[in-house]
Amino acid sequence: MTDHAPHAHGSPLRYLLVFLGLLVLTVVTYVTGKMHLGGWALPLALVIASTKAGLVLAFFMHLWDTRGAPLVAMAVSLLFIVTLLALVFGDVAFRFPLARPDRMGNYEALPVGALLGDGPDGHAHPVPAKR
Amino acid sequence: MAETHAHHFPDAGVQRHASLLGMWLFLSTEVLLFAGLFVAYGYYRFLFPGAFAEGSRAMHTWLGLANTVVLIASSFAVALAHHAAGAGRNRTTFWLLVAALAAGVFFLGVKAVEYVEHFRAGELPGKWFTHPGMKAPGISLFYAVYFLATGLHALHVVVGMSLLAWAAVPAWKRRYGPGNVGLVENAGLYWHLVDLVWIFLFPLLYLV
Amino acid sequence: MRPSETGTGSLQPDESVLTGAPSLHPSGEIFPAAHYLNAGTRLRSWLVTVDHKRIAVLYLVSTLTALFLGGLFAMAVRVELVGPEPNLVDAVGYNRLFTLHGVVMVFFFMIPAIPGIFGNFMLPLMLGAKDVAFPRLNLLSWYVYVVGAAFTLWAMLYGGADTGWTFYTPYSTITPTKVTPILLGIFVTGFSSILTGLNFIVTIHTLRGPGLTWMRLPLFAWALYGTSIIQLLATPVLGLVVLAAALGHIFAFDLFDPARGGDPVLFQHLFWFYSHPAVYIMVLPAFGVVSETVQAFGRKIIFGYRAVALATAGIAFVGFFVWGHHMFVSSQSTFDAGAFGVLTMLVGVFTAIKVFNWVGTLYKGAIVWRTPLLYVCGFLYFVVFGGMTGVAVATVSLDVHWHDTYFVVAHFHFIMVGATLMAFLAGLHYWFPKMFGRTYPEGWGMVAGALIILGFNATFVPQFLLGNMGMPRRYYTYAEQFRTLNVASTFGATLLLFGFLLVGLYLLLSLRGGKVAGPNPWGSKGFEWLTQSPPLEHNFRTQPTFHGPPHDYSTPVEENLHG
Repeated sequence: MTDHAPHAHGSPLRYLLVFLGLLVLTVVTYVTGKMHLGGWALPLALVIASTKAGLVLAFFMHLWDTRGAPLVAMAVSLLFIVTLLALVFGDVAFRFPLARPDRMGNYEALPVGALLGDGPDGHAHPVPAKR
Repeated sequence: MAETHAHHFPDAGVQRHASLLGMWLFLSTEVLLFAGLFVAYGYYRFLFPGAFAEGSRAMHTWLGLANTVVLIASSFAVALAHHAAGAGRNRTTFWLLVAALAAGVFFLGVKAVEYVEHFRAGELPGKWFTHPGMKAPGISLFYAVYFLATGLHALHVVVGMSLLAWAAVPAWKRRYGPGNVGLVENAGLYWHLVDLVWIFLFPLLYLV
Repeated sequence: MRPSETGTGSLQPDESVLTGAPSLHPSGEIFPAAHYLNAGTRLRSWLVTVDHKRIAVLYLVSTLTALFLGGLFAMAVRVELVGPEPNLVDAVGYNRLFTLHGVVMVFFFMIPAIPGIFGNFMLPLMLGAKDVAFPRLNLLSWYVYVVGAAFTLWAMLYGGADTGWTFYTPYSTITPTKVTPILLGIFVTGFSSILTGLNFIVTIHTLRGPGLTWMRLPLFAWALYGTSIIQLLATPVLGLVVLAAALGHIFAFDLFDPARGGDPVLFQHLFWFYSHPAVYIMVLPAFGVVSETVQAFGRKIIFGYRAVALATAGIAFVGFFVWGHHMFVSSQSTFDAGAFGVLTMLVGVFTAIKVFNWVGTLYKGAIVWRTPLLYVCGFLYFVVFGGMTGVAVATVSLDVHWHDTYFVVAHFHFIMVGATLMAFLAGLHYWFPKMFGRTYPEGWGMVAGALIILGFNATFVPQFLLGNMGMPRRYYTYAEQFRTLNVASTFGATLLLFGFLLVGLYLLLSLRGGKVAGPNPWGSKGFEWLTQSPPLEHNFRTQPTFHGPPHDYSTPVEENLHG
């Protein structure tokens, strides 16, 4: 394994540039967040956030200059997170409609606590259906 | 300062490498911890987009923005502190770490203000949600996710601040130098992670 | 044959008959004067030790206590189930029993035992290192385990939880039983797991001795590496979900509350995202032990080293992609069900590869028939049947019938007890002389092993049949037609109990009264045997160097000990 050379990387100038880049991106995300972009708002926000995160990881945390295990650890973590997200979405997005928490049998939006009542202990308990 | 190392390591270089690798592995556990939260966020956002929009509209965006900027600046400070430590400039290191700590205090203060606001407005998770104005189904879930995420993050800010404070001690004692930056490096990595998580939390909770 | 000096009846042929080398182990072996066990005899020296070997012994004591406790709960469950009428407890009591059985066994024995005991003890020895990378973190991991166990014990004193070890919401948030301290106990113990995994990964990366390349690593080290990756990356998700559930219980701050749009299935996704890889945390180290013992007792280097090493990594990796096979009937989408079904088939392939490699190692080897090998044979049989029934329940259409029946219970006990616990016992017998410098009585070892293997079959084979007949799990009562098989299962459990007690008895007695083992009573060429038994406090007098892989029996057993 390469011995870690502590100061071969990163002059203060590099850090400054990254910092400015992060500030710019923050402003961008704030401005675009205030606009009404509909379905594009979330993906755009995620792209900007990922770019910022990438900058922090690569330059503040020196992944850009590191070889080996730390990179692999982060890459594998990312892969597992993507898998978790993908398969969890694969569930909720394709679930049988009557089994979805937001539909629950009727296709109108549900007011809070409609089908189940709050018991005295503050937790929900089933209420017999009135039909 | 003379480089000593624990007896089970063949030399100081290996020990440094081990310490850094250990820290990165620990960071990967933190990443996976927050990942679960982001999954919960995504899951409920998908199911209740109206509630999530309503909830984020109710946030004080400019407070979140201030926190974001402050945290990024503190990350910058910590990166510089690590660099200064490696060059042996202990006094610079010390004050940069203090600046980062101050940023942490600011961050927590702002969060406290926000939390008080949420309590007053009844914007709370689960059964405690009593805000009369917000009626979208699933709104209490938004706040459940919000409080779990920001609460856990704030806890990590506190831990990060403790690590930074601990890393400031050798700076005060003028002990950092080339090849001897392990503590400030590792504390810095943790702090950058704290910043990383917030970089995602801010747009997801406040903006979109 | 030389009879044992102490007359305990062990039959240990002179090793020279087997290796052709000059005998290293005449029965007049002298116990080493200085070793890790007598380097400091006060209690304090144990409680603040940073010696990985002592920490291993601490784990041994605590995890075996957990095994005993979990076993008591298991016996209570089996006694209750000997008839459909309430025999011991009522319904809620029964629910508490199987919950505590699961929690104690999974979190306080199965997950920490092999890494905590044998990983801690053997890994540095196998690498030629003086300790793990972070000895103080190692001690901390044990204390964290103890704190977590204390929380859970405290909850047990108040009757524990009745939710099942899987804590499914919404019941776990509204149950009046003491679920919160158990959840907190599990949360805390998770850190122990993370710290151990972190330590082992860094140790393997940085403390390999000169000449020890990755492809010469002992297979037990590979197994620990794979395990550690899972411990590191999966446990945090458990931490999160358990925390969320506990907060839901304490503060009614419920992320999974259906009344407010929450989804219990989300809990299940997050829970099983950890808990499926967790079963590989349990089983991979066991596979590592088997790899070591088949080589030692087959007197042959592993057949297909690279395949076993890469299959280990494969299991660690693919094990993260299959969690939804626990959720086939949860209302999860059919898309996911299909995806998880296919991915689960993939993970079975890696285990099958290893089985071929182990059998291929024993084939045409110079078999040394000892207790560890008996357990390995049991293991091979159980892992094949447990694994095949695993593939069966991974088939969605079949699992719809078998889910929540005794078929699933039998399947996972085949793997967890039949495979993993057998491997644990194999490792315990194989490494007992290494750790304590004495041998156990081989005859009794065989008797107990046979009892355990037979008892296990008697306990769990009926359960496959019961499950297939439709008997559901987690019920304290059942339909009359299931009575006979349940009686058979309880009878088997009693045999198992006697087997385990017997093992515990002769091992305890051998700690003091066993024949002195000498440095390498098995004549094994695993790297850990290159030291005295028990090892020195700092493992080696001189730094060992490595010139080839372990278990290379084409050359005589080394006489130059490194300490």
